[in-house]
Amino acid sequence: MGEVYTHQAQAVEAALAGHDVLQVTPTASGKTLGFLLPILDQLARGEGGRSLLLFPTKALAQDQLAGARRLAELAGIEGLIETYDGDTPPGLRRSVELGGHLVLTNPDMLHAALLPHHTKWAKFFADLRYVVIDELHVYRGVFGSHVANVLRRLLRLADHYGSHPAVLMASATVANPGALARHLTGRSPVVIDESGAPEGERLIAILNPPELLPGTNTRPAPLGLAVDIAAAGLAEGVPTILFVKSRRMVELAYRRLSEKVPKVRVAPYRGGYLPNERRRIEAGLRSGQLKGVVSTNALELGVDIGQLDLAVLAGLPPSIASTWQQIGRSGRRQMASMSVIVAGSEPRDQYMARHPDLFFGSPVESALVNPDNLHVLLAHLGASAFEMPFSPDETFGGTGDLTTLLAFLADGGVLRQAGGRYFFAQASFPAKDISLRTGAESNVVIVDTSAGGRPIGEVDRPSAPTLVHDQAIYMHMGRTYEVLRLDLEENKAYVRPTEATYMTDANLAVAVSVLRQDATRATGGGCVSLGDVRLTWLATIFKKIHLETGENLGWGRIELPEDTMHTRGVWLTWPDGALAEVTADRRFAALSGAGHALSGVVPILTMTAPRDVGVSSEVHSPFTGHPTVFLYDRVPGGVGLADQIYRQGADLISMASALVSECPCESGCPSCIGGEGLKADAARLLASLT
Amino acid sequence: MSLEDRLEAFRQRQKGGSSRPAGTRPALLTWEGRLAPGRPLRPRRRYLDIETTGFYDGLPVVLIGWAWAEAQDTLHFWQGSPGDLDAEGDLLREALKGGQSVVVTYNGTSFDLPRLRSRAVTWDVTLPDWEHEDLLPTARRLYGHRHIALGLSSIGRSLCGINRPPDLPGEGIAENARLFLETGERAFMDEIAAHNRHDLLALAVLDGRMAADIADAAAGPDLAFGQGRVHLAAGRPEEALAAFSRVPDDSPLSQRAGAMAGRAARLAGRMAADHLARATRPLPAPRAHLELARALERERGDVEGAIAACDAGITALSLLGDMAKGAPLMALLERRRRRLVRLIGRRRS
Repeated sequence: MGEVYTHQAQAVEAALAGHDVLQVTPTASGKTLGFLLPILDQLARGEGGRSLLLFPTKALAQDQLAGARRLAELAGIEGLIETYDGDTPPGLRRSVELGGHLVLTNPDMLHAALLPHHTKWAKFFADLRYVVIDELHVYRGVFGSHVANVLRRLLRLADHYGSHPAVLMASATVANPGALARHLTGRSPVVIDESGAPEGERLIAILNPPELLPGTNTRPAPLGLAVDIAAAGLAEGVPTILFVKSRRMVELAYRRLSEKVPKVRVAPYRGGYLPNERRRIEAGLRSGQLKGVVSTNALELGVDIGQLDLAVLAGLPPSIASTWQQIGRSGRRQMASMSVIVAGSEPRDQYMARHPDLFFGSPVESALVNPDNLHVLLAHLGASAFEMPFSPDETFGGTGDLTTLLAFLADGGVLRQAGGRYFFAQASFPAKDISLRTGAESNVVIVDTSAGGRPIGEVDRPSAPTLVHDQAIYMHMGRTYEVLRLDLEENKAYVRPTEATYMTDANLAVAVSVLRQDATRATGGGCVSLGDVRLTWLATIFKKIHLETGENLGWGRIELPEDTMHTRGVWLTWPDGALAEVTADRRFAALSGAGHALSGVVPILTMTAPRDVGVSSEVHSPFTGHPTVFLYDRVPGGVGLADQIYRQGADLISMASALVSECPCESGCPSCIGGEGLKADAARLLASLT
Repeated sequence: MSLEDRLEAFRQRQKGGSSRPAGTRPALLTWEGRLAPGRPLRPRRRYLDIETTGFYDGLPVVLIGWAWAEAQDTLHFWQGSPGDLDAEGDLLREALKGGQSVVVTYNGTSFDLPRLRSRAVTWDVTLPDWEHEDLLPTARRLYGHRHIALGLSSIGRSLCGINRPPDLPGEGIAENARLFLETGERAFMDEIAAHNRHDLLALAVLDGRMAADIADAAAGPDLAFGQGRVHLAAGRPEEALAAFSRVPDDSPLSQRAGAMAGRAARLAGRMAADHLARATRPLPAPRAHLELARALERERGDVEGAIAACDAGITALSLLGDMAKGAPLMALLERRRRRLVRLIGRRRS
């Protein structure tokens, strides 16, 4: 092996000195070596020691397995280096449990298999020296909040077995890497964020497709132009990756691309493919046998796919950090590369297309987690008690005194206090009831009645009334199913395959009531406030939308009870006079337009998907008594989005105001206020708050 | 909003939940006494059976039961249960003290011992290095071909004639344990202990019956076949061979006995061909033909006979019809046949 980069050397030195380490350097800068070298060093010295390496996906762990083994082999180091996930054969599992030196796994497996069965791993935990968390930036929002608690459980067990592992982390660029690491692990690592790796020249273009009709700001979907650009690159022999937003679009884009460049070997890549198939495609890309790939964000993470020179993004990814990750897929080996972002018609795409300086000049977003969200925390406290009884003087990450929380769980029958300690008191397996990838309390299982009651998927409980109501069309793996019955008591939706040519789109009536106001401040002529809110939502009707033409084919009623949720929210309040110039029948539409623009720029401020924050407008809010727009965290209890929106309220308002005023449409469009008409009124409302 | 307020709001979203009075409880509940099963019992054996609230490692052991023979027909039992969840460690320390006897369980390899090991790690208790014997695999070998239910209660009833009175079903244990913790009423644990005692008794009686059956030199074909399997698994090929030889040719078990006797003969360093010939009839048995071909060639140098066995194996495989599943075996038979034909050719030339 030759020399290492400066950031790798710093990471290794800090780890060897016993520090927790966080590397925050660009894609392909060799972060992996920064955490593998200290681990292999201890093995080479014959000091023993086990290491647990966490990757967000099975695929990534598999990918890193080969690299870790190669490196160990090069250095002549012996030790059992193995993945431990759902694909690990039962015979091999016992060997890994007993003698694994480097165990590569994912948080879901750690949560549901390793920690609850820690007694099988007693030797491993007792000798645990390093915990590696790769792709740290992925652990944000609900997922990150869960993972933070899984890590609390891990470190608690390590403590029980008498080990104090160092935590080595690697992250793509986010605005708050140190804070994210602290929230996730409770540790304050040495942060290494100066890359010593050379980078090739990188050309980035943001393309806004031309308006279909001048003055309407109606633009074609970005996929067509993105496919054309990718095809042009491939035709010239340029290795190309095309990122699209959904699994369905992968198939569609792949078909179109194959038609345009039939002689070039291209493959589709997405979740839902069998692991072997994915490995074959990755190997094809690495070896150069495949010249191009169409992918969802499944290839955004660091799976090694070798050298690609052109990245085309059909629509702006949900965050700037994610965008940089996708762009980083081209030019991995210090050679010149190009990336093209084709803007869609969503407000944030259009905002970014008009403000490329924001993309290039601003720091990337913060990654937010809220490990102390009560829904998440209480579930993991129960799971942790299953693993080991709690003493009241214990802490659990940064939660401080646990007595109140433990007593609460004991009161609900989850725990039982005995001899001064709290024991898990139910006859169940608590990890089974916690899905790390959602904050909802439970999921609704989709059951295919034509296949003997086989479960084919899940949706989170709050989404069920709009996605799997009676007569809804549910899409899964390219097939369409009609929902026969949604049973919310059993948390099951019964479906059957159908050949429907339409999809369904449900209307949700949401009412927001303020439970408690934590903070408020004046902004322009109004004010912005933060607090706990209760959402009450009711699915009312659904529309049938033709899959190809988007034509409205009819509608139906949804007969479901209303549901409620407690979460965090921000609300912007205008004085009554703000709507005085708008006729009474159009006031709601004007206020909703302003709300649409505000919610449209929220994902640019926070590192989250557009659907993570909801919006609701009330011309006369019972709580404020004035016109009010509520922005609320869609996760029960919130993951910190509302708090961040409140802190950046001024930026939010000015960005939303700019989005509307700079939109080239005349009277409103989906890219600014969500529909036609009242653009001037919405713009005036927003401007009045600046 | 304070944490208490937030919890109250959270509570509103939860269903059920109750607070329980915390009473004073003894650290351990114990039951001790004697049983007279009226059947012969084996000395120097300690029977172990545990009760838990579920199959997962993190769930506690709620009762540990031991029994051992005091005289040939008297069974002494000791059972312990934690008075509360914090006393599980005390129970393990008390109940898992070392002993010189062989520890005997039923399904203990998969359940009782791994669970005790897991809970011992949790409570930092050292599990003694017992000599252990699990009766379930032996029962499978000895009686499995009779197609009887092999659950402890079932086999105790069908084989040993133990008619246990109606008691708490196994699936009621978790609920009884919960009710005991909630109410402190010992009666709930008494029911679990009674259930456990029935199991201990069935275990001890079954052990005696199995030992007798394994040693029965005058056993009929059915039991002799089971004896052979037990001896074979225990690494006693001579005894296995003797047992399989007592299965007559007209027994429905003859063919299987032939195959196993062939294996036993090989392990004992004896000629296997005659036994394997039994294994090839009356039903089509291609693998037995392959084994026979191997034995004929190696033991007798009978290459023509080995080729005939391969041919019969290929025919038998064709008769079975499932060629996709049988493809690897067919390849082995054909490869061996080709080699044997070449060998004959070389010898002739």
